[in-house]
Amino acid sequence: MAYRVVHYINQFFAGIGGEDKADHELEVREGVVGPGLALANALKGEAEIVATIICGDNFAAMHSEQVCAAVENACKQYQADLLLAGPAFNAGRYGTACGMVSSFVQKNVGIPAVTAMYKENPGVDIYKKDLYIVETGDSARGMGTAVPAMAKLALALLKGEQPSKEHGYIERGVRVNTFYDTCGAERAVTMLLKKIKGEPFTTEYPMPVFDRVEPRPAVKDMKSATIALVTSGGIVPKGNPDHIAASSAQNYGEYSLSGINDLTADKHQTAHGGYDQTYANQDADRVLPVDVLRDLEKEGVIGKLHEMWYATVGNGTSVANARRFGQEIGQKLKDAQVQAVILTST
Amino acid sequence: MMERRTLSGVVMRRMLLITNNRLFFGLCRPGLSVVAALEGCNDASTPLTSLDVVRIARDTIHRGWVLAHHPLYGNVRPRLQPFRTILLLEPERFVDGRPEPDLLSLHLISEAMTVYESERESLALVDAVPESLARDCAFLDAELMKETLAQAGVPATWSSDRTITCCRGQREGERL
Amino acid sequence: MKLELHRIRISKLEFGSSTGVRNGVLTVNKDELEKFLLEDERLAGVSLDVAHPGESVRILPVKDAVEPRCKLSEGNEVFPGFIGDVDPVGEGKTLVLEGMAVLTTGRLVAPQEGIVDMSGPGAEYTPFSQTCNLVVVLEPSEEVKLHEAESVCRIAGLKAAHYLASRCKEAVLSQAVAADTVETFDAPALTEAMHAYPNLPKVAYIYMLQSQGLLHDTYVYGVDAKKILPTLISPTETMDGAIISGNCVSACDKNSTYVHQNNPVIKQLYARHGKELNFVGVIITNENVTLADKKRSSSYAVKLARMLGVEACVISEEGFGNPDADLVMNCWKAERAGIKTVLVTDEYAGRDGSSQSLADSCPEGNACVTAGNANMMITLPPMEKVIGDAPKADIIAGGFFGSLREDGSMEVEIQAILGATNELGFTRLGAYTI
Repeated sequence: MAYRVVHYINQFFAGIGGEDKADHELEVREGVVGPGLALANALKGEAEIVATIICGDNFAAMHSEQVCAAVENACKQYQADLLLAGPAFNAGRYGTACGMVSSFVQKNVGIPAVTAMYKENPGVDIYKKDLYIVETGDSARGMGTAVPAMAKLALALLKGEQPSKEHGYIERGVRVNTFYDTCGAERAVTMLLKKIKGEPFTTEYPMPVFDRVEPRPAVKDMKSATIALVTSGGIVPKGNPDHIAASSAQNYGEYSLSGINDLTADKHQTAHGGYDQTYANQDADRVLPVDVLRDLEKEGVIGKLHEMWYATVGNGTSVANARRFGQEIGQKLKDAQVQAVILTST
Repeated sequence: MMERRTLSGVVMRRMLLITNNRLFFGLCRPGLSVVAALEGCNDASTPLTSLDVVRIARDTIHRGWVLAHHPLYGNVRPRLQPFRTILLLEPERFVDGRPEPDLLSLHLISEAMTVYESERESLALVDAVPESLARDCAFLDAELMKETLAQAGVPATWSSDRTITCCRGQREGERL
Repeated sequence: MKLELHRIRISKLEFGSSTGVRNGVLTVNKDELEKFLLEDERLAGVSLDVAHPGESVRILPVKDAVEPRCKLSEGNEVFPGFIGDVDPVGEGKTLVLEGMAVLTTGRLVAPQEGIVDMSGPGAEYTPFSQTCNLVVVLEPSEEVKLHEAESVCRIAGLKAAHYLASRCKEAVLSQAVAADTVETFDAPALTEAMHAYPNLPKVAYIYMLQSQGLLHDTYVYGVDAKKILPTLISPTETMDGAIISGNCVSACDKNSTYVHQNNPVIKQLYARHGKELNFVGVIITNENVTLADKKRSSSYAVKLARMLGVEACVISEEGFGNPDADLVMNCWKAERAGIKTVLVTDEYAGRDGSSQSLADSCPEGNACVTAGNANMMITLPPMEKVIGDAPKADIIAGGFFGSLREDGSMEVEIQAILGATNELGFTRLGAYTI
């Protein structure tokens, strides 16, 4: 008897549409859809995909509870032994959705789940401790390797085998106890001897490496300083002209504060999908304190408020993008001879 | 390090003791202020949590105050010890009259915040643990601060009913 | 300094009319030992019990474990500063009753664990499920304050251990009973040690001792370790009980007196001495609370290592939390001084294993052995017999132990089990990342 597998994919891989169809409501179809066919083949008859859940990435982001419940129901209805989600490659909202439903199903249905995505997909950091996530390339060109890897890991979990590094999953960062053959003291002296001789050794606990940034010295002359405002709280001009995404932002915006002393509901809004937007939409100064800084400017506490503000959405932003935004914005501010920045986040 | 040189000689640096442990509320010594981490403004108020104490310490360290000791306990996690007491010394270095934060204190307090935050859902709460546990934990917190206080020139004497006896005079306290 | 350990293997403990050993069976005169311990008026009550490997017995809360030893030769007695005088030990001949331990129990404060299960899943996590245990249940007088109560219990354990070994001394000296093994440990003077084995790397051991305060202390020749500057000690001195535990909190990684007496790092370094390395010496250092003390001790310990001219050090920690900062300081200061290090520690990665294992870190700590994640949960089945003080339900409810079920089983972190994640590397437990 083959194992029963349910597969979760987004609107793009279901062939329904691209970004324009990201609000596609969740639906369940029997059998395989899209990459499910290749996955079913890779499962070699030992497992079959009995149903496919299709959901738009935006729909999943905006209706997470409903989507999780629907996925749980589908798994129960189709008597799934395992959930496969993705592969999501570098698509941030898709990866996050795959992680979300996989983690939910594991906890609430009690069956294993396997997903797959690129290592910098924001879904990785959020869900890796709960899930086995197969590492894929950064685009759908990697489908050919992702699919067999997902199938192999899924079969191992179905058979109750302990996955190993060979299954190609992204390190989960979870520590598991085990009894070694020798006592810790012996292992320690053996390791030290290798280290002394310059031979390769593997530490039992890799020390976490912190990306420490040296703090800059305090601003000496605040009265003549130009202060800039930058936010990851998503404050943008009304209408979000640069289409900064509510999560997994791929870009940041640069906007003029010329002539603006106060942000108002008719001209400004938030684009951030990670918090209740009501209060930020009512008065965006709550996230980007333009009004207060204008006051400080008038009072002579600061020299002036820089004429541009920069904004992105810090919700499931990939580390690579965050780094790039920071470097670019930093360079622009430096070129404009700004002395200090107030960074607001939510 | 506990001392500061002035033109008139060497004086002890001012100290702040931030704590949610009632045993310390009566501690007094010139130059020492006890910040009682309480909800509300009177003696009967509920003590804040150990995480709150660490947070208040962090905010104070951002203003240049310096840790006298490591802000984590040895051997006890926040889940098991509802009390936390932290001793800070007044800022040492100034730039244009404003205190410069001490980087080691910053590093240690933010590492400590990580530990306390990671157990925020399961913190031991003063009012929620059995009485015998609360009594013993308060005593242990005070005991483990003894060496630090002694080096800072604040001897604490313990009476048989396990409370700190204060020197004659009023309790100095301030709320942040 | 040369020390001979004469080991008698104990396979069974029983109570009888006269304390002594015969054919591996140690008979204990219960009344005599109880009376002897009760000579300390600060004890209101003492009771003795025995537990053997495989029995359905749970012992808790264990305060300390001590291996019975006494001197066979002239000179100072073991446990200097407590039983023995304060003169040096670590030379001559010492009798060891191997395969057994004295376990003291006594609830000094409400939050105190220290479980030893002699069988079942919990037995795998403590070395003391493999030893025949004489359990000394201690009850300090009510009037005795906590400091003294801790001291009373600590000394009672040492006294009991010494008593047992000394009652076997005559038989060994008169050769009525032969030691099962005799092992010699040599700790030559530095002039000799430095020039021995010129082709082998010189290695020292930096031995960190817990010293935070009441219930978190260690004693060296009777001196509170928080008061010492790091110093040299001969490995043979540790075998004669120069280092004593006053550490009663965090059962999994506190070093009981037993593991100080049987330090596995010292054992390993001796085993490979002259073959793969030149084991030059042991540096003891403390884990004080103040930042000034941490700075001073770590700098001083590394300076001693430099004075010894060693190429590498094993560094073992005791406890967790702020001692992680000491471990890290010792590590990077040594590494930057050109001394290679390996660290032996344990982890607090949370019940799901995903939290940061240590409270501090440094990139120089690239060689690290751990004794496992202390937060791992385990279910301990009910045992037929509980020796000591069964945990009160309200303390369990307070979340301290974990949860106690009605049938007497417990769900606890292995942190509550004595020696489960010992940071001298006493056990085979470790962890890996998935």
